[in-house]
Amino acid sequence: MKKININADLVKHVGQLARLELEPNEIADYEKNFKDIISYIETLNEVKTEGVEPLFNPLTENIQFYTDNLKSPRKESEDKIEASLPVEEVLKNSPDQHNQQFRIHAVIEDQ
Amino acid sequence: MFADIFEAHNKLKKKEISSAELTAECLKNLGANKNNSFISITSELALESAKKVDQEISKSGVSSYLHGIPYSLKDLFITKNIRTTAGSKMLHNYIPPYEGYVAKMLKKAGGVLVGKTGCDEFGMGSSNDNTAYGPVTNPLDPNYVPGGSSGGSAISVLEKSSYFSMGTDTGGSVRLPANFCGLVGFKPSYGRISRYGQIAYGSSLDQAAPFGNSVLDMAIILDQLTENDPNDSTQAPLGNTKSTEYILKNEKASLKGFKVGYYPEFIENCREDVQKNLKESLEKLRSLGAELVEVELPHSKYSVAVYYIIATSEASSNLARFDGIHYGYSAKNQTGLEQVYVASRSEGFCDEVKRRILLGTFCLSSGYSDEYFNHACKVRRLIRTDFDKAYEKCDFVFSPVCATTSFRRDEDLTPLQMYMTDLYTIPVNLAGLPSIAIPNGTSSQNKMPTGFQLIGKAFDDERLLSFAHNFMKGVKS
Repeated sequence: MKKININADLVKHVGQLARLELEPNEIADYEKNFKDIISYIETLNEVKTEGVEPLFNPLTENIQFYTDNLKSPRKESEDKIEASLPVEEVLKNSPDQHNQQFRIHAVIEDQ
Repeated sequence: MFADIFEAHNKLKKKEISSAELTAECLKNLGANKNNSFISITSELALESAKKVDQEISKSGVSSYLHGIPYSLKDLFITKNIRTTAGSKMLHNYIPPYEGYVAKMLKKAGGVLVGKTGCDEFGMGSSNDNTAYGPVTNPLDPNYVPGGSSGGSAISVLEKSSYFSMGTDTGGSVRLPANFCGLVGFKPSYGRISRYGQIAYGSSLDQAAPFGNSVLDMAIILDQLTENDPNDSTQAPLGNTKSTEYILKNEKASLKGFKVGYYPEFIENCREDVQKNLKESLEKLRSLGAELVEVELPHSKYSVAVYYIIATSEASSNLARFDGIHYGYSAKNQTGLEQVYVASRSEGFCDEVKRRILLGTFCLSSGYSDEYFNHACKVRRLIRTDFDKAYEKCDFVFSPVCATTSFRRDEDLTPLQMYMTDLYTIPVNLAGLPSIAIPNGTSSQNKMPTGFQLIGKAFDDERLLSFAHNFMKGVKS
């Protein structure tokens, strides 16, 4: 890990990526937290990981256990056609809707 | 109130009590939500379903251990037509149009839902303070936190407003509050219980996990929640566990023939009061016939750092769905689509959720993902490999749950200090293993509960529960 310089601009930039608007006091707070947390995270630099395969999900490890323990090999479940949720049920929670669709602000302006 | 589900079930079975009576008693114990353990109370629905259950029981007897048993769900579980908030303002008005797996299975088993319990927003926190619905009070001592994130679930069992409660455990969110409140909490192997309808935080770590009053109850609950679910591709299709039957068949007050591993450094790094009780529990294991062996888990000390890269990265992706458009909180009077996204998210999430989204976004951002996310996943493998090696020498690993007892609400912990409370619970989630948190007394310093956890091999949940049950039996005898 390269040493990273945490500053207000970086926090603001990450906020933009995450679609979060941060007040100046929030930026200052998060900058301080990040300095703490990132410097702690950098202790991982001590660990040598050459040749180590990343583990993204433990199930890939556990999978051996259950294939070994199943009497018959795993069968993919067949596709079944099931009813979808009714549109009006799904739209019930949306703040704005029109004609059985989610309504949003126009993204393409009229010419 | 009976001691546990098993006892209440036997009374229901013999028709010595009705589900309506059990439910009324739980609602009475809830009072006017005096500990703020619930976000939504479904008392009418509960009394109605208890009545229905009683009719079923009088007609054809009890159909499962959970038939007629009152319980609660962390407000992170999707419940059809019952508001589900995840403890957040973001979902303050969300009424799910579908039933999640856990709610569906517990309903199918005949359980009676008392309500939805308070938690840290989206499961992010160790103190239950990060919530839009007010913190949950710990009735053991209101100056101390109940632990998080599933604090409301823990308290619902402690205050006896529920016989059991389902929480979620991503980095210790069930085992920590169980430990802080003197309850039993069990995190099954990753992939054992379907996550369909469990609001996602860290998808490779999240696991539904019960709280209760006995080890046997953990088995009873697990057995109802392990049916194969085609809606979750990360659920291992192993079929239903039969752990209750397994436990009852292998019941004895002896642990002969089992090897329990422990990592001395874990114990030595605990606070003195906790350490004293851990050593007593180890001694008890030995006196009941278990053989103790030292094991090494040297990479576990990196688990908090690894976790705060992986969990926050996954969270930043999972929580991208909250856009103010489809459901949930939507900021008013915005001028464009982008503004709706930004304002809804900025106003809808609490500080801690924003902090984790920001951290995760950073860890996944261009130029850093390889160094942070991928490197963390490699260390994650080393943590898992340590466990694999330990299990060559033992059946179960004994570990602290937390280095301290519950901490005081007025202790002003920094985010990093708060994260460190999960040092001993996180390795289990990173490795995907089952673990049960068991109370072992109270602290000589502050009288708050202490405990330990027993960690099993992946998918060895049944044997782990049986061993823990026999341990408890041995302690009592």
